[in-house]
Amino acid sequence: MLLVEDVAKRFKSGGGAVDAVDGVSFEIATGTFAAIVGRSGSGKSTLLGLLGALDSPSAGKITMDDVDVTALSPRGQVAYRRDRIGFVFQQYHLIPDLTAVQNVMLPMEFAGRRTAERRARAVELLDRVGLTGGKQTRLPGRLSGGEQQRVSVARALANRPSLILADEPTGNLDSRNGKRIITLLREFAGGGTTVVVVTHDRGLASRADLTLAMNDGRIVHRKSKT
Amino acid sequence: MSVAVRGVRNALRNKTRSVAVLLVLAVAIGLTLSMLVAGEAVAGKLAALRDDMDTTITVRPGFGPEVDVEDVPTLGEAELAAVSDLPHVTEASATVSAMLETPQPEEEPEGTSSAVQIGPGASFGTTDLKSGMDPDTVGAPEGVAFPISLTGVTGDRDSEGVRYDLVEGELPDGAREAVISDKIAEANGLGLGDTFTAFDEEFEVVGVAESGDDFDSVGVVMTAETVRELSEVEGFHSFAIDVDDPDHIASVQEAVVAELGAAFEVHSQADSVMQASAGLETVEDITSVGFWVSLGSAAVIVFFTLAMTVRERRREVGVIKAIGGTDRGVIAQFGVEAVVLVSLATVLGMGVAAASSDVIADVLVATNSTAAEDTDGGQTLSGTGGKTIRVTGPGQTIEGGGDLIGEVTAGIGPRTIGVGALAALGIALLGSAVPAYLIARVRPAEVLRGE
Repeated sequence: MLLVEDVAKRFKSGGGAVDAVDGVSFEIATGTFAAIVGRSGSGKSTLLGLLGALDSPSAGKITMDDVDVTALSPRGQVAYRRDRIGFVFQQYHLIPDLTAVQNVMLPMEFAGRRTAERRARAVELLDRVGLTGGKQTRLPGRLSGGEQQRVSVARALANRPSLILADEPTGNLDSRNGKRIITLLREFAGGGTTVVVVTHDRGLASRADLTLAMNDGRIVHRKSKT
Repeated sequence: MSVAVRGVRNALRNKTRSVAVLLVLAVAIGLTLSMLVAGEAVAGKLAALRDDMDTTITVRPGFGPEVDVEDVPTLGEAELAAVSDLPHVTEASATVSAMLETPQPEEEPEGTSSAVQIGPGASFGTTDLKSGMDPDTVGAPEGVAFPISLTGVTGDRDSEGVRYDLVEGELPDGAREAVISDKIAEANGLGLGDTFTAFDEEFEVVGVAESGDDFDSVGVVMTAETVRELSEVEGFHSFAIDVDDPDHIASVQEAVVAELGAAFEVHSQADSVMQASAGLETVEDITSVGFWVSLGSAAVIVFFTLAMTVRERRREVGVIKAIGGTDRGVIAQFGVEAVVLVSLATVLGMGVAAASSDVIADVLVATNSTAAEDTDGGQTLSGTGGKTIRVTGPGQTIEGGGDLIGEVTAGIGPRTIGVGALAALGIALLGSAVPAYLIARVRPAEVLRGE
């Protein structure tokens, strides 16, 4: 269960301050595929960063499976991101001089897993996202956008996270590859992992169990299929 | 893939830039090591010069351009006793000089028996000895008869303060005993126990000494008392004063001047060595400054390279942090990157140092030795404590600093390699300190910016 209670994030801007997230509250049940939608600058990505402990809120509380994320120390935040969160970014953000399989192995290295275990799990995940054979040992520069995003999804799953946070995962993909990524994320949600996707993509949002619409840092609309 | 392996790979990720950085860094590290090697070579030479420094001071009556012959002061027994009692003087000896005319092959010289005064204290007598000098040495025509120097001694040193190097026998003790140079011994077929005449007196050869140089700096040596008697000279022409330690030479020189007055020429070979050493000390200072400047330059190069890399990979750093990488791990990765770059550059720099350290040392030493000679080539007063203790006339050449220094050889040894490795580590640490700070400041949320 992901519980967000009256969370706010204020940034200093020039002489004043901007409330990027302003008193947001919601809860997402485990295994839910949730989408956060809204216009650019509505605070979606900032909220995603707060959920993933990439940043700390100015106020409010975020609880993930009984862990108070907002009370974590910097070291605790690193462990939380490493062990419980999987990130998928719009620009993929793969390490350019590591092969696909090495990129997927990286979070497991940070978690202290043994090399053989890391490699086996990375190959398994890449197979699962449909990147097989010689493509697994290619550098990201030699993979298509859709293939890179699939590697990114595999990397997000490496440490068996309970929450996947995806920021515009289909933003740079054509519709065919976009659908493929959505299907993958949807599958993982069905498998018990909570997935939160920030998107402009109506097709993606329409497949979500829960849709939260944001405007000016606030949740202005919520829609649940259940 | 470990942090170390990623660091190594990242160091060589951009090959063109890596090669450029390596070359620039190699030159900087090469210069650092060159300065270290040159500095060590010069320091070693300084120590060797100091160890070999002759601690003898010579004293002669002053023959400056404004001193009348009649006014030249005399060095006598009282003066010898006075300087012998000075602090830090271990021994003082005196010499008196005369010349012996050798038989002329075609024309017999006139005035054979009486000593001829040719200057203040120097006298001529005759001898049946032939000079051991080769006319070719000075470009003189065949058959020219060179005079022979005659030195009377109270100790074992000549008028320059140099100890006689006896090939055989011993120094003269009796009134009719003499030491001859090995050149004279060879030219006249003389050995120990043989006799020759000088000032119409017969002398027995009791020793043979090494000639010293092509011009035969030894000649004939007798007791000072004998030479004074034969040449009818009062007093001595020079003192040779032994000092117990090189550090006391200057103070003893001052004490001698204070004791005897400023009319005497008080000289030590240490003067020349000290001048040469001053040049070398300058070189040592230059190499020391050069070492630190080059080391700093290398660190700055590493710093800017890593700062640029961190800036370029800011988002990558953010991603690594976002997916669970720690600050320490990322800093270690960049640290390895710095160490790889610096280590490769150090290997190349060793080559640069091997090729340049000798040249750098030579140029620096030559430049500074020339400067030392130039300042002393003319009518220059040299003294200590503000007193004039030596006058070098125009056109005269002082014992050259370069000659005294000889060759300074710089070479890369295990110590240099060890110091080089430490320097490389230091450069890597210094250069990566600020980039490490920059890395620590990268927030993982950066990765979401501009998405």
